[in-house]
Amino acid sequence: MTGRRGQADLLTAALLVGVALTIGAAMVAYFTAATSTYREEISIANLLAYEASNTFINIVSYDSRSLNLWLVLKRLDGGSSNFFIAVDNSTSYLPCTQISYYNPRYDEDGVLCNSTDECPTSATVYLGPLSKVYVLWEGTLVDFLSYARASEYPTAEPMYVCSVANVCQLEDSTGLCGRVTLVRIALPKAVPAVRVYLVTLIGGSPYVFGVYEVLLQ
Amino acid sequence: MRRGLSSTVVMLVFLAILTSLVVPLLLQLQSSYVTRLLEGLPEAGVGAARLSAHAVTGELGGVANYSVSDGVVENLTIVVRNWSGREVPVEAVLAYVTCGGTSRLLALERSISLSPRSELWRFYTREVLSGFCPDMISVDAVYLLTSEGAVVPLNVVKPAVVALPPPTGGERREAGLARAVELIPLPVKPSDTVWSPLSLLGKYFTVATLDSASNPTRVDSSTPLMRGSWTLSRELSGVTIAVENQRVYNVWLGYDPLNSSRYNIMISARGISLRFGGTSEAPCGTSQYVRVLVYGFTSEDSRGILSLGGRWVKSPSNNVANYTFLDSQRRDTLYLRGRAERVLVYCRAPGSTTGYEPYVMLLATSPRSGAGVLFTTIDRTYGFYNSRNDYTAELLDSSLRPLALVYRALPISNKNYTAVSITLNYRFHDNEGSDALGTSVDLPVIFVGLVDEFGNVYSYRSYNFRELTRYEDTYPPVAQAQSSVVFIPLPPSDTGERTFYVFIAFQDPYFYSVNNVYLDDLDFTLLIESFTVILFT
Repeated sequence: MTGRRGQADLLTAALLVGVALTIGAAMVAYFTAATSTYREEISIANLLAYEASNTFINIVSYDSRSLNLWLVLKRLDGGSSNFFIAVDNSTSYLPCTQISYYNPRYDEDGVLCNSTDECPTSATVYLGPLSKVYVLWEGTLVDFLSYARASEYPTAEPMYVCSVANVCQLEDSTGLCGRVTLVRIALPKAVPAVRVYLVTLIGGSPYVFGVYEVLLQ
Repeated sequence: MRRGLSSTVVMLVFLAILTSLVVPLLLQLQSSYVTRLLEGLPEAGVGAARLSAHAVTGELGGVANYSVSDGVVENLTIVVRNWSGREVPVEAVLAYVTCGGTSRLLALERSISLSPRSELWRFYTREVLSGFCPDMISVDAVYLLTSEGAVVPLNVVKPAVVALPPPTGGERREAGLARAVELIPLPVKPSDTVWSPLSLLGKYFTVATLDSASNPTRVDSSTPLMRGSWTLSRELSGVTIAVENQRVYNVWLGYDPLNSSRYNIMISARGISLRFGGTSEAPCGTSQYVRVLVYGFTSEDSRGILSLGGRWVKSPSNNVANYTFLDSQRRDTLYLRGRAERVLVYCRAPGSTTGYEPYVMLLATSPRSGAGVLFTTIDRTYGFYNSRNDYTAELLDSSLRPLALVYRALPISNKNYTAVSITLNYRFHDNEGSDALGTSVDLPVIFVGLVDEFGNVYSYRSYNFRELTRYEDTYPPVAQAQSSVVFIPLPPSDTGERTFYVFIAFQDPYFYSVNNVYLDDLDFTLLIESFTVILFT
């Protein structure tokens, strides 16, 4: 009788340990997945914060006659990676053919962008809907379409993200990049304002980390 | 008792395993949240322009000063001061300049360094500046772009008085407190390309168009455009040319503004045969319409410049329409032989649009005057309200976008001047025999007025067709001299300083419409002999 009772206790103990291990394993799996998502979001947020504090943009000039807007871009961390930007002209996003950058290596006469060599057109790195572009907003990553709606930015599809080569890559310079990259935006018509969105690519998806607005009138 | 004890042990083991698994996970999750909350997420909308600490605005500054001679920037001086106590690397010194009719961004200096508490002086002569662009009219803005990304605008001192060369023909009048500046006739120098009228005009004026062909509000930087197609078939320089008794429709003849013993001639014909040197050719074939533009012509024949129907022309008529509609009644043939500095042959071609080049020629109507501007859309003959004007609809030319010329070298500020008078002398001749009755609507041909520094039209006067046609006779062709004075008061200077520029624009606004078959199909000739601004202080 005692032997049977002992067997039953052992069985109960084994069963309870099994249940505990199963619940534990499930919890481990769930929390691992949850924390890795949060960590990923945190690392994206950190990356965007880093990019935002290390990318500098400034207006040089706007010529209302030729409708050319000149800007400077610079990485403050001394990196020479390319810049990714999107530009809106208050109603829609400009295609990358409208955006070119100055390559001083091919400028022989000192006149900026009077030949195509010294002013290559930016390359399109993303062409698609605004909903597939992300932005950090109010503490969470949201799609850019919602953000643009809330901020009264243009929502006309599609969005173009253009790659502007860093001048230090064009010049084959070594060491930290201490130079600035000149960008020319050729506006198709006179507009009241232009916004430049600073973008980075994470896992192939574009993330907006900064907006620079230039009032032209 | 033992049974109860063993159950408790089992429960304790179970709870120990569960707690050891779950609690660290919960703590880790909690710490992740805390980390994230403490991060202080970047506000993406604020933008990345946070380099104010790096920007050295206030410590850097300077002045750019330039002078103008003959309508071209003579020299440019730049002084840059670095007041800071550290060395400032400069990426470039950028300058926005106006070259001809377009603006350009120049890198005057690249990759230089400014020593602490120092001044950098740079002096650019006309020769150096011509390396950037040959016809620099003005320096509009100069920026210092530091390697840190700061953009420091320099104070540009513009020439206070525009030193225009004394006009070849007229004279500058100084009457009381007024000052007169003659913009047309254009002063012409031996190095100027008279055969390229738009680029020569672009040396003094910004060549542009208007935002509206009937009621302009802005000067637009688009290229002026004609409806009607010509292609440049031949362009020869320093050539002997002969036209040996060929049927032609129209000849416009004037003095070469470079040399009054030479002549500029525009010929319109069909399938004309020309002799260049020893070879005879029909540059546009035997049936195509053609425009021949001859510059700097010297006749080899002592009897005169050219012969029309056997009658020799010894000097150009000041009635610029005097040699038009040659084929209409008398069927005069053209004979000329001599040397030309430049010959351009345009052939009528399929297509829809072209520039103003085939329609415009610079010439003088008296041996002493500078270059007037001739614009003609007439190709063949005249008609009436119930017939085709230029013989065939194929030859009907009109403007898609007017040609506007803005004189940028004379900024007129309301601080210095109270009013402006613009005087215009011109000749007009059209091929609409019914004059005003040949049109269904009255449209503007010439505009004269002021634009502000942003290109907005401040005030203008338009010259409509029905006004212009009153003072001409279609046949026999007579283009009477007409003139007008446009008085424009400037806004008082206490309402804020504003700068204005004089502009003139012209166009052929009439295009054949299907609904009124023979109305509105006119073409015309316009010669702008003089365009002068009088400034009242």
